[in-house]
Amino acid sequence: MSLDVCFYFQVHQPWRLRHYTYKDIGHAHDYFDDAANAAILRRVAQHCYLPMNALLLDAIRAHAPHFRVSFSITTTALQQMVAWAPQVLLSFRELLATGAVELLTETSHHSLAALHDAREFAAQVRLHQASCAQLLGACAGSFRNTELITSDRVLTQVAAMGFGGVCIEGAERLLRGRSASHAYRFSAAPGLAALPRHYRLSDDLAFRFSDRHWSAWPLTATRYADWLQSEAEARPAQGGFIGLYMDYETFGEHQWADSGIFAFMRALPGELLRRGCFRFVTPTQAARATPADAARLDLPQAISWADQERDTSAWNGNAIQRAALARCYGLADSLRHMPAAADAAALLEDWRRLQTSDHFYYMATKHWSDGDVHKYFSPYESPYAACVNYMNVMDDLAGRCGPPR
Amino acid sequence: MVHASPLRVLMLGWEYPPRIAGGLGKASQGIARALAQAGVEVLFVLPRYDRVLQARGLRVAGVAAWLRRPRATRNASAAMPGRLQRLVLDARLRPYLPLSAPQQRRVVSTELAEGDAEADALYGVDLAREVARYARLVRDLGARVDADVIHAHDWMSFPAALALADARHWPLCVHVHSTEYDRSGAGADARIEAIERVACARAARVFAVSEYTRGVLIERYGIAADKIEVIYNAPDAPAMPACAPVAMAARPPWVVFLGRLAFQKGPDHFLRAAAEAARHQPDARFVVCGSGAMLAQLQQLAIELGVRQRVEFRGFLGARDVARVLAQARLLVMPSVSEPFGLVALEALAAGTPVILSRQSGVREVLSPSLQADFWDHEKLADQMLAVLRWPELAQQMVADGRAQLARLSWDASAQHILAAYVEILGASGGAPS
Repeated sequence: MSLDVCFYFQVHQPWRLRHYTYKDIGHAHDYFDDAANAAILRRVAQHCYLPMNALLLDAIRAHAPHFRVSFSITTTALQQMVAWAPQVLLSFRELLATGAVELLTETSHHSLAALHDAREFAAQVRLHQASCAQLLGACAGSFRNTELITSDRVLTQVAAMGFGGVCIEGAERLLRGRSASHAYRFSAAPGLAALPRHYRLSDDLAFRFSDRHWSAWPLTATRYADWLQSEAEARPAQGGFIGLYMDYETFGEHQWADSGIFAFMRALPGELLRRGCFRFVTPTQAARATPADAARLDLPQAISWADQERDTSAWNGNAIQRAALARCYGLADSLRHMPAAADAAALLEDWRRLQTSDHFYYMATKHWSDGDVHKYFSPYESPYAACVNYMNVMDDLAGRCGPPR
Repeated sequence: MVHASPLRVLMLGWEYPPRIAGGLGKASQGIARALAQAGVEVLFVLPRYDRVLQARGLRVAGVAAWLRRPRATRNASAAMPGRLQRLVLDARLRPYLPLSAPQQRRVVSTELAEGDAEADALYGVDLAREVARYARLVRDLGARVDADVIHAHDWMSFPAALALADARHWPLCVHVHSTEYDRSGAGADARIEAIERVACARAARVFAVSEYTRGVLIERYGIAADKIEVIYNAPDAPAMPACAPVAMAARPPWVVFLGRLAFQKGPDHFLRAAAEAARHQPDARFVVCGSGAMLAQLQQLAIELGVRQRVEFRGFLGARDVARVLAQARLLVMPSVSEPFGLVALEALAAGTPVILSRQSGVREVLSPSLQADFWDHEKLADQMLAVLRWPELAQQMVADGRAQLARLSWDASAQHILAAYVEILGASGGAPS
């Protein structure tokens, strides 16, 4: 009876667009809302990144060498930290210097390139590795795609890039009754370990922690450790893996400090280690521990960690999202064959910032009436307003690319 | 709700299909029918109506007809009350026009022409006289019928409702489809405002067609918030257009304005936004449907804005022409300065046409998400117009989502809310139906 516990935190900030109207098209090539982006980044740094990094650093030192965590930090977030909160970069470097923290690789711009343009996907993965190396130190050999979007097709490409493990959503329709507390392999790419997110236990922290109507409220570290232990006890002698993956902003931003989330996380590592049946692992350690003959998973359809559907409909579920995606990736060829224009690099970077999945997420119309998270996270009045703004920017970008090839 | 005997409602209104000038008649019909469906016995009395409608639980007629046959039979096959043919509704008599507009002077049918110096002095001529006449006749009617509740639609019927409530002490509900502020803005008629304020203050319950209107009643009229209930309008069932919707990409790039050419509907804002959009979309055309006092001014404005060639003034359209224009257009824009609800948005969606809504409207409360803008924000309106014209996917998505939202609205649901309010006030007044 033992269980490997893998904490992985997602750090991401999009380049939110400014209000951009028909009047700007062809005249103004500054697309991003620097004031809002800076304000949000600084706020999140204050509420989450800095205090939580300090907390984790203390925990790692206090429990050395047993407590470990992992991060995936997008290039768009790193760029904004450089611009507006460099002390956050320093605190991440401090964490990484302990040797108990692993960095995952993903797409540089938190994009949907894996679904739309294999060449661009590969380029963004390399770019993410380069920006992590430049600003933080090297990434380890595990991968997570944007929003855990994964399919057999994507996995084939990821395996060819030389990764050893992939974080995925432990969706019911993928596991088909098999345990979410276990590592697997993939039929499409047997060289890759499949490290599923335990969505119930992850969302207990990410979504439910401060919900006063939740039967488990207020959740204590002891109680949560009891839940993990019952997962451990349900496991055979070995091979248990619990993936606790969540947005890093869970700590202090989605769940406010006064919810007790920090005190909870301060107590949890010690509580688990005291029980003797848990080991903290990083994805790469977990991938190495996954036997070559582990059961295999099939993903003919893409899955993700978003919404109840756990599919890609949060970004491409409606006609306006698909039109916007088509418009965006339709520019790929023109951009690749640009003559060495003076602003070619800037143009490419703008295009990539416009690929960030958040822009398409803002256009989601499903569940709008339920007042769900899409609305909560959107800076727009409506999904249609998000579409109007994005398409205006795209028109200008297309103009800069020159006539279509 | 189960009652030993059906709850009886004496409903007072100004319009009822097919004789209507705007949304009021359609809404009145939707509510009356759904209440009848819910088991309420509705007697709907109009000032003038050239027919008698009878259905299970619902009878609709002009007040004079009921006075001639006070014990109007429930038998649907009963003969029409005598001389009914002469009770003609004058279509020009519009409650949305100033009280004393001389051109509105109407010929009152001889049998009912009753000079009333008192009413003239109070309300001016014409519409005011008609309102007063209606009040007097309804009060007379009240002596001959029984009811549990009075339910009056909009200010023209409020004097009648108040007279009846005074005479019979039946609890009063008033239903506000629009306020004088919505209709006239700064040019509001103080006498009409007074009628609205007094009726709302006196009523046991006030029904408002939107939170927007509820806010107007609270802020401008000082009506107690806790007695105002929002009762949303609903699309007519079936919400299918008269003509089959044309595929979005096959539609000409027409942007439609549909409404009275009056300040409150914002036709001038429509033209200003259109002028912006026209410059960036050379093939777009702007179709203004409706009649009203602002026509000449708007035509002049279109010239000044340099878009006279791009704007068509179609005048007032009947229901069939409205459906045809909507089914062909790419977009309806409703830039109202103050719009209590905005049934036209529902009609457009039924015709498969997307809508841009004024933020100063009630319908946006039931159509969310939707594209919205402040009526004065011409740049934003133009931005949204251009995007919808440019991207058929956006137009189609807005229609699909909008129709799904409308499917959640029904007159039946609205009637259930009204019925619950009746039961509550009857319980409170000790006047439970016998």
